[in-house]
Amino acid sequence: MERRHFLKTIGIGAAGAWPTWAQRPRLFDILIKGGEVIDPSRGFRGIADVAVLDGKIAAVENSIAAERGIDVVEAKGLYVTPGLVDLHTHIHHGLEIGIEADSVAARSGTTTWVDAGTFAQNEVPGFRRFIVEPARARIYGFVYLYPNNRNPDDDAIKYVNGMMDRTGRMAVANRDIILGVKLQVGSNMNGRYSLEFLRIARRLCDKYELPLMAHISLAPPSTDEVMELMRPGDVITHCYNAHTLGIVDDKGKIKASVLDARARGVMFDVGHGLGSFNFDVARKALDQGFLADTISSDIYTLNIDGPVYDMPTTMSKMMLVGMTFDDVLKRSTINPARIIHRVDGMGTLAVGAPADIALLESAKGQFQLVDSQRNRRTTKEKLVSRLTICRGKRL
Amino acid sequence: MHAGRNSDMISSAVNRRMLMKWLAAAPVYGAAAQQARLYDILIKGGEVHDPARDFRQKADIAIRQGIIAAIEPDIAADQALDVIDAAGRLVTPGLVDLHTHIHYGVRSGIEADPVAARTGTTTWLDAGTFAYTEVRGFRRFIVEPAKCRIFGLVHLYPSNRNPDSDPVKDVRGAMDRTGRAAQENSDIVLGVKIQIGSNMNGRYSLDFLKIARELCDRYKLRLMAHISFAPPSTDEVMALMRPGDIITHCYNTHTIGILDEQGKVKPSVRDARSRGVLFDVGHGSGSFNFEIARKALNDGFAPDSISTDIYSDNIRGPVYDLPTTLSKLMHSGMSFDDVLKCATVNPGKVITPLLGAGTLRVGGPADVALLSVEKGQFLLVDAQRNRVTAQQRIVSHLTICRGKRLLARV
Repeated sequence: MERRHFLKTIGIGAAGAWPTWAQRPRLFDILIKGGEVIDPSRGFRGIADVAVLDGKIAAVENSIAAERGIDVVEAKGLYVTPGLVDLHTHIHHGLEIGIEADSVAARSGTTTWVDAGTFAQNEVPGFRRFIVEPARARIYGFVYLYPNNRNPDDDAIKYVNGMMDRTGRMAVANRDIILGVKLQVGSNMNGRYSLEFLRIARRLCDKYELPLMAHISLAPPSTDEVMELMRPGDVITHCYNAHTLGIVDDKGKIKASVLDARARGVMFDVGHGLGSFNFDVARKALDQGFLADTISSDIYTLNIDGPVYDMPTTMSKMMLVGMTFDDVLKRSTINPARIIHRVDGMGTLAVGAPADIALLESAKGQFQLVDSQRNRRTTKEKLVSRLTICRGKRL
Repeated sequence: MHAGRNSDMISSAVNRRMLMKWLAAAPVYGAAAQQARLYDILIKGGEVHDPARDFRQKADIAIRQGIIAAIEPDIAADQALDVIDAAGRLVTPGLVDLHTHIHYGVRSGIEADPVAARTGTTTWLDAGTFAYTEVRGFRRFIVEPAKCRIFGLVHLYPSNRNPDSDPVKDVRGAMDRTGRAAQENSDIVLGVKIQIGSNMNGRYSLDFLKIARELCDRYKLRLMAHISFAPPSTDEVMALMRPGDIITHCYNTHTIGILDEQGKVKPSVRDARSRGVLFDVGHGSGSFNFEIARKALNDGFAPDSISTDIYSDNIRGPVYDLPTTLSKLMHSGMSFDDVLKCATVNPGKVITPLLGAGTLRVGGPADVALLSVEKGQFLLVDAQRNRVTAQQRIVSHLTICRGKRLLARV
């Protein structure tokens, strides 16, 4: 602030041409000059300057004079994109495997983070107070269907049923930060009970009108059984996994139930994670035109040092398997922002939208990328974040 | 009484303190002037009770820089910036609550500070609201920002969402991680908590307890065991408790309890006590019963510590707070001196990182409660909703922690 005031004072001196009685135009807080602006929400791509004022995007124009900005960012050779939106993360860092978002946000262009069920209904107040409120990045969450402190001899279905209304009420009461319900579906997560739990989640989400995010891993249940219970606006995460509960059949074809679910409006999310992104599966799906709706990291303590690292690395992997940069960017900005649906203009660079901006570089060279099964690929192009601006401030 | 003094006055007092310090340093002031404002807080004219050394008499207590600087029959009022008139009050060590759930944001935890301010409770032990995965959140979100003093016991539990996993394997898998988390955080994590009872763990309580035993032996940690419903039996639980371990919910009315069917203290319980196992009240939503307490007291079995087991589901009754819980034990037959001991020096000994916890001695921590015992007709309720009318109750008037007044949130 002091620097800003100081510079404003200097600004008055420099703009000596302004008569003292005239109203001076306010200087922009940040002016990003000379970058290649890409806004997938409106198919905009071109060299332009982006001005930020009071936490909002104030102007996107061919050329804005450098004197009009307090903090002028030289973006020549960089992509200027909406801040990245990561739909599947674990950032409740007081619980289990959560990482702290802000420090990773600052180095990865990721301005919006969705915690996918690190916490259950009884942990929502802590999520708000200790995670969402102090963060500089934007944070939302899906609440997990049930907490993990049950009596091991309790009837599991009864127990989860007992959590249904509490979870629904907590989600509705915290609608500003809670987007829906998360459930892990897979025999490795719930033994014999995944399908029953999914049915309870279905009833919960229908009753409280909440989106459901379903993790898929190991059958049973079958992919068909899961798809049948998904509704428009729900999210299947880990869509490019190499497990038995996946989107491709034995011959590598997209399953009919998956295509049907997509046609109904079910969303498919990458959710890379420790075990859920496979180059071959992704390539097969892309070959059949099955592009994930959203690209997310499923980042947490056990994968942040590999194989996940961060959003730009995950995006680079999608480019490696065949998506264009435009495809990737759309799936890392406007698409997940529409699912979040809490802040007008999020995931875009429209004038008036929140000033959440990433400066990305497409680095050329030889880079090694690794999937969850530790398959290695060499790529010539890797996305690297150069600056993250969130709510109009540099992180 | 200045209990209602607002924060503006406090901050002006702080400025005044800075000014006095500056003046004291100025050469124009002689040695006598330096004596002028010696103390931050002076508690004058109260009846000082320190059960740790059977001290009970009218005295003034002076506090400087978070430490008790003097306890003397008469300390001049002009020596302190903040003089508290404690006439008619009992000046006691800040209360120590050995069983609470104050990991706000996790399960049923409440926030300690606002309750601390109105109850004289300066030291809180969270009894296993959190598991080893949650210790860093406990430190950062709970312990560090708190104005009162917070410690915890880490819960040993099968924290696995998969209902088809083997719970004994899960707990065993968590054993070393729990031990290491406790060791690495020994400044705030004082031991391990486990809940023993078929209502908590089905068939597995005894297996879990054996793992907890191994864990606590290996890492030299104190174990606090909740007791509720058999199986296992009281005898089986007692056999696994070691000196310094704590049995909480000792006056419950459940099937794992300290009394036999004739209302006498079981031999295995007496044996455990003689070995040095500690018995804690841990009132909670379901674990304090007037009749059990009275029978145990009649049989000569007073608790070692009186604690609330306070959490979000019982803070509006039947628990309310520590002074209310203490009043219930007085109603059950304990003297004020006895209950005070069970809420200060006795639990204070468990708080090993804080030397002098639960005592009032010169050089010790300036954690002080101003209490009184009110006479009248007061309704008290136990966990089974039995109502009694008590003739007296303990009321807190002011809480001082780390040498500062704790103020209720405005």
